[in-house]
Amino acid sequence: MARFLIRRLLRTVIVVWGVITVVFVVLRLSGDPIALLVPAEATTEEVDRLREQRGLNEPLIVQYGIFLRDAARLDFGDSIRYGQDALDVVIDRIPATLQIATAAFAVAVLVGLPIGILSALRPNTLLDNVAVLVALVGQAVPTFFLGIVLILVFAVRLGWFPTSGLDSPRGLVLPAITLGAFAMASITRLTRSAMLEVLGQDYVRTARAKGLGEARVVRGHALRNTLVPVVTIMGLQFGTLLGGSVVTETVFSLPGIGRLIIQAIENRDYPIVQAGVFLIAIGFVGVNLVVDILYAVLDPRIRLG
Amino acid sequence: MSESGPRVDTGARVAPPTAGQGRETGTPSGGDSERTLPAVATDAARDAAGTTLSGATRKRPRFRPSRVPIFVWVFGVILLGIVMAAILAPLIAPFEPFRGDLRARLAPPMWIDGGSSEHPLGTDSRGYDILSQLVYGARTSLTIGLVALLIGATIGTALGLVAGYFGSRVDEVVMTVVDIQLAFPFVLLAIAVIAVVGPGFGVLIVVVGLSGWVTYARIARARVLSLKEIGFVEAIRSVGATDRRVILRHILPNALSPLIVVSTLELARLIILEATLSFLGLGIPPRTRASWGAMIGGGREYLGSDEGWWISVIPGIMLFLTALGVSRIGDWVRDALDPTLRHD
Repeated sequence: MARFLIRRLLRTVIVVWGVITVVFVVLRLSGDPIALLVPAEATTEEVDRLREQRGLNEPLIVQYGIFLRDAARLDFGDSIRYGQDALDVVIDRIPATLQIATAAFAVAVLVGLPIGILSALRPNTLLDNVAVLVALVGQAVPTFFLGIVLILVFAVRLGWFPTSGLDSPRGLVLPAITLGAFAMASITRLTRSAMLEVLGQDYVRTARAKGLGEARVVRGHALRNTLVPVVTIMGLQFGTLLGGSVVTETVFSLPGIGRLIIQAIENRDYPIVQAGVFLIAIGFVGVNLVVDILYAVLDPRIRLG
Repeated sequence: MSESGPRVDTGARVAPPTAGQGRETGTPSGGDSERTLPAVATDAARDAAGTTLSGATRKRPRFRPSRVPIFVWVFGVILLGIVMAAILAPLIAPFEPFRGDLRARLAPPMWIDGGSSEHPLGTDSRGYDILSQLVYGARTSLTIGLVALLIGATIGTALGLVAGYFGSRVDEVVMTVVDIQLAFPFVLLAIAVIAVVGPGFGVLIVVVGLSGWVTYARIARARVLSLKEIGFVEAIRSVGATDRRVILRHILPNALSPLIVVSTLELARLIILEATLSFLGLGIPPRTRASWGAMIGGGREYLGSDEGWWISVIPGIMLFLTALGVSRIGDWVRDALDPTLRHD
C-alpha cells in the first residue's frame, strides 16, 4: 500500500506541475503577460515596477522558474478589481461552489445509484425503461439549457424555487439538479450495466445455488463488485462537477468560483482567473487522488498491480 | 458499403436493361456498368432482395432495415433534416441572420397569438429572425463540431500511434501529457485560453478540437500495443518495411474502426462544448456567425417574461435534439460494429 501511495502521490505532483505549466504557457499566448496583470489605467512606472517585481524582463526560462516559485508560494498577484490578494478573493468563493457541487453530487449518487441497481434487478420492466430513457436524456442535454428550462418551469411559472441566489436552502435545489443531471445519468447507466454484468457471473450463480436469499446475494456478493467501477466514475464525476459549476453558477447567478472566473474574464482581471483555474485544478486533482486510494482499498488488485 | 454499387446494379439488370432505366435506378454509368457480375452474385442478390426487386431501398443485403431500432430512424431523419438545413441555410433562411427588423422586435412564433408567417419562429430582442439564425447556427455547430473532431482525432491518433509504436520515453511523455489533460477540467482550460487570446472562430475550433485528442490517443496506443503483442508489427518489419510505412499502411488501417466509432460519440460532446462556450460569451464573437449557444445566452433575460422565452428555448431544443440524436446513433453504431467498446 505504501508503494502504491508514493507512486500515486508522485503522479499527482507531476500533474500539478503540468497544470501550472499549462497556465504559464496560456498566459504567454497573449505576447506580453504584463498587460494582463495590471489595470488598464496603470502608469508606465507602475507597469515597469510590476514587470521588475514579477521578473518579466528576465529570459523566458528564468520567468518560468519565477512563475513556478510564485505558484508554489500560492502568490498569484493582486486582483485588479478587488485590490487584494487574488487567491484570497477566490478562497472566499469556495463555500458556495462546494455547496453546489456537493448538493449536485448528492443528487447524482442518491438518485443514480439506487435507480441503477433497481433497474438491473428488474431489467426490461417499466421502471428500467423509464430509467434508461431519463439517463439518455440526462447525458445529452446541455447543462446550461437544462438550467434555463428548470428556471423557466419551476422558478418563473410555478414559483416553487428562487430564480437565482443562495439565500435559502431552496435556492440550492435547481442548481443541484442542473449540475448533477449529467453525473446522475452516467452513474445510473454505469451502475445498471455493472450490476447486470456482475449478476451474470459464476460466483453469483454459486451464491444462489448454495441457497442464499436474493437480498443476501445482492448485498453480500453483487453490490461490492458493482461498486468498484461506480466509485471510479463517481470520483471523476465530482471533479467534473467542480469544473461544470462554472456554467451552473453563471446560469443561476451564484456567488461561486466559476462565476467569479467568468466575471474576472469580462473585467480582464487575470490574477483572479489564474488563481481560480489553479484552485479548481488542485481540487480536481485532489479528488482524483482520494478516489484512486479508495479504489485501491476496494479492489486489492489495483494496489498490487 | 463497397458492395452497394454492384448489388443495386444487378437489381436493375434483372429487368431488360435499357439506358434510361439504368439511370433512373441510379446505376453507375461508364466502367462500372460494363463489369457484368457472375451469375452467382446475381442469384444471391435476387434472393437477398426477395420480392422487393424494385428497391434501391435494399442496398446492402446484410443490412436489414427491420433490425434497425425505431429510434435510429427517428433520430436519423431529424439529423438529416438538421444537416440539410445547415447546407441549404441561405435558401431556407427568410432573412440575413443579423438583419434586425426593429418593427418586429420580440415577435412570437407563428403558432402563438400575435405571431406571423413573416417570422415563423419569431424574432429576438433586436428583431433578428429566429429561424434564420437557427439554420445558420446549425451550420456553425456542425462545422465547428466536424472540424474540431478532425483536429482532435488527427492529433490524438498520431500521438497514440507514435507512443505505442516507439514505446519507452516517447510513450512516457505522451501518457504523462494525457494524464495532465485528464486531471484538469477542460472547460476551465478552454476558458483560460480564450480569455487570454480573445474569442474568435479559429480559436474556438482549435480549443474545442484539442479537448478530445486524449480519447483517440489512448485507443490508438492500445491498438498498437495489442498488434505488437501478436507479432503483427514484428512480422511486417522483418520484411523490411520502414517505421513510417508500418505505422501508416499497416497499423493505422487496423486501428481505424474503433477510432471511427468513438468519434461518432465525441461529436455530440464537441457540439455541446461549442454551444457552452458561446453561451458563456467565449465562443463565437457576437454578430459574426449565428450560434445556438449564443442565441440561448442572448435570450436568458427574457425567460422571466411572457414575451421572448422562445429566443432561448427554440435553439435549446435544436441543440438538445442534435446532441441526443448524434449520441444515440453513435451508441447504436458502437454496439453494432464493436461491442467490446461498450462502457456505459
